[in-house]
Amino acid sequence: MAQGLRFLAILVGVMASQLFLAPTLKIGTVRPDFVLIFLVFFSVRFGRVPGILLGFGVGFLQDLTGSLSVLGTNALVKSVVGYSLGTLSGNLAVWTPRVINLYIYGSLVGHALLYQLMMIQGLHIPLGIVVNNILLEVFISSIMITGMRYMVPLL
Amino acid sequence: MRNLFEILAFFRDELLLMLTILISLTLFLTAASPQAMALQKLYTGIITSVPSLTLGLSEMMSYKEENQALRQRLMRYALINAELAEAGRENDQLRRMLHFTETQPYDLQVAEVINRGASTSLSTVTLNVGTNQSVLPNQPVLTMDGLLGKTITVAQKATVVHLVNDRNFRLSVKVGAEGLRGILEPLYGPFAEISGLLLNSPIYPGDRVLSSGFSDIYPKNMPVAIVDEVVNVPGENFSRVRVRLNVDPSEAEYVFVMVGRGAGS
Repeated sequence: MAQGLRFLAILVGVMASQLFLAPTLKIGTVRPDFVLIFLVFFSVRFGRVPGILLGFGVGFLQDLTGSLSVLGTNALVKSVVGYSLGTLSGNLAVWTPRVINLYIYGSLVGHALLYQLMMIQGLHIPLGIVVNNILLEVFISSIMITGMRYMVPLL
Repeated sequence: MRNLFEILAFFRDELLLMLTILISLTLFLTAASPQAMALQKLYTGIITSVPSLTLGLSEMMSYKEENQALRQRLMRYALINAELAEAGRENDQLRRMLHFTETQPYDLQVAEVINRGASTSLSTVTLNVGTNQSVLPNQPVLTMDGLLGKTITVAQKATVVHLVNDRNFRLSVKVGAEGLRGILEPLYGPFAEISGLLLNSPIYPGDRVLSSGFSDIYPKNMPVAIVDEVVNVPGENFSRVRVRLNVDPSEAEYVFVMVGRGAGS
């Protein structure tokens, strides 16, 4: 019960940060994704099924604050991230730190790639801009996750 | 039968992932359905009931600077207004001579941007006005620099605005000295592209892009963008006209909703 309440409080805090704080911390046109950071830690700790469910839920809430023309994008991308990083749940003690890092940061690249590709479909956007957005998103998320890992252990 | 359950249990993670992907894709393909809009309205109502968590101190610091800039702008507009008043009087006289119908003045509702969405890219903003202030869906939203977007979801005390730089935003515009018509489509950042303009049309960088008025929502001659670059690709029948939007949605603080205007009214 206490753990559930704690989880709910953190979730509300993360969503509030995403809504009110993230727009003020944007670099270029890309904002930090606090929801993704929370999802990474949650999935690694609790596994695939909770990761997929949380990813879908928070992604859907993120989509609802958008223009609805891309409804489902965040839900899809974050479900995949929840599944992907949930795999780490039982393997942290088995895999080497290098593989774990590669896996986590690889998932961030996958998230940015999938998200940007879904967002730009149908528009005549130069490839350089897309690559720039992907790199920027990965850069911001990587810095935040690396910083958070010093404060909150993965398990 | 037992084997089937065992298989399902074994692959439950993958099955759940497939299910969420399927639901997400269904949402993606049926975006902006009435159900989704109703959900967004409900969610917007909940978000706006939470007191704003913006940093008050930094806002106060910026108010002084903003106030100074606004005073300068006000003075400039006062001078322009004096010129326009004379031009308007002359225009009225000419319209009467030509028996033109009277145009209605616009009814503007001032609103403050209270949220910019939770997505990693900006596509909507939420305003602190709603049906209580006679705001309806599909009404134009402006800043002092030009068009910002249109209202899409309206709750009692909040309104979600579909921004001019969103990937699904389209607008009929006229451009250049001859007022050639085209369709404005967003590209990235502050840039957009106008399609449907014939090759070698007399359009040059610096030309103003205005709304054409071919719309139930937007009145004509609203400033939208400035031509940034015109590219004529050999073999193509249309010019690629890249424009820079007048309004930066990420900077908009106070806006005007054109109430009593648009398809929703």
